[in-house]
Amino acid sequence: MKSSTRNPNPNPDTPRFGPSKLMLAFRFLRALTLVHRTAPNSSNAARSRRIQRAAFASMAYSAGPRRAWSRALLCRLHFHRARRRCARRSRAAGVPRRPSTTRSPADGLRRLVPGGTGMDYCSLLEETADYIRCLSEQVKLMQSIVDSVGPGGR
Amino acid sequence: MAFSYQEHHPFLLDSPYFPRSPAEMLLVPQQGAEMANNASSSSCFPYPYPSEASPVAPATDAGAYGTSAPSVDSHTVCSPVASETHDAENKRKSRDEASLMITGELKNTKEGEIKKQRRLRGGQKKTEEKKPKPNDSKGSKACLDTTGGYVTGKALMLDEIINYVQSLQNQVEFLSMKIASLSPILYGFNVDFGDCIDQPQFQKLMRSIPEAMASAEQTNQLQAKAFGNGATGYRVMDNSTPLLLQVKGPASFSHQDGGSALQVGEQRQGSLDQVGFINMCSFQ
Repeated sequence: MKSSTRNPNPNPDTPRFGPSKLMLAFRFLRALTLVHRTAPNSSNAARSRRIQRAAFASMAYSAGPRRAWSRALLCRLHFHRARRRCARRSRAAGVPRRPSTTRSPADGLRRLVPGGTGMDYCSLLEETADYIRCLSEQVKLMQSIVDSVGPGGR
Repeated sequence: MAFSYQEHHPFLLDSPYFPRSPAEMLLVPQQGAEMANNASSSSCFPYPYPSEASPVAPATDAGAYGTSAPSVDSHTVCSPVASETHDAENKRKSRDEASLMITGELKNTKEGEIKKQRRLRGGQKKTEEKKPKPNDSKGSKACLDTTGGYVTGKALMLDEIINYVQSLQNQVEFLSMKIASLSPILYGFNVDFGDCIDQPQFQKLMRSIPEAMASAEQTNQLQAKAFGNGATGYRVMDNSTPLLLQVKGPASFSHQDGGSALQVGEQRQGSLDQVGFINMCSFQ
């Protein structure tokens, strides 16, 4: 609870959470307020889509630009119209193009993980591990929000 | 009968091909009937001869008849029920043949031809017997290659990962729908978190959380103390006057701790939002 970047947690009994989780929660809640501010009277489905996009965006922002999946996710989320340019940029950044003729059992995973189409197997697995970590954190955050705000909480 | 056979072919007597032929030929019908009754009796023939010898037997007989006429005579003369006993005779002949092949005594060219043919057929039998075994081993190897080992472990791991990622993405979608349905209640976040968008303000808020927690702990302690006081008073009244317990117990409790309860309520109202934010941040 008391942990921050400057003051490490003196009490080891309390659950520790790093700055990435804090930033994830902060970004997601800020995105939620933005969603409610900008579109207060939108339909339920549109709001859910926006919230989902906000969740993925906050996840990608909290993961940082080092990860290929976060870059690809932000490209997909924010630059819908400039996707081609973004892809060209990512390829120019050093991600090798995989030959599309060979079929491997990891193709399903490549389709699921954002930015996985242009990766070799090892980096795909690394990115998948990080992506799963962030996704599970996001799911926990959203679950705690629902629990605290919903009819059972407060 | 046996004498005629001996007269016709005296040279065969020397060879061990039909060593006990006259006596056996006489005994054959009974034994053949027994063998026909329990064809699968493996006491004499442990190998599955009955099944395989039946299609081969006519050919061997034909070859024997074609090459050596005397045997035909012997068969016709000696055994009236030769058709029934052909199988048993063939088995016995083959056994004798095996002994012959071991000893290597071949006196007649005709017999040599017969032996050659039969050896060839024996070779065919052996190949027929051996054929399914390598197939089995190949199949087991293929099964091991396809169902066990590193490849399937990798594929299973990939399947598990794919399923997990899919489930997590579906969970995010579902929870976003849930949050969207809860949006009127979530409108309060607009007030709480609209101001702390900037980083330093957020840091301030995070520093103020421990103070809020300390105040919350103080209120908890106060509450506990108040409840302890009430409990002691309750006990005193319980010991002194049990009749007034139901009326004056709760009244005295509320009267004594009214001020502290009010304070607790105020502090709680003040730190409610921060505590809620802490609860939200401490997901794990």
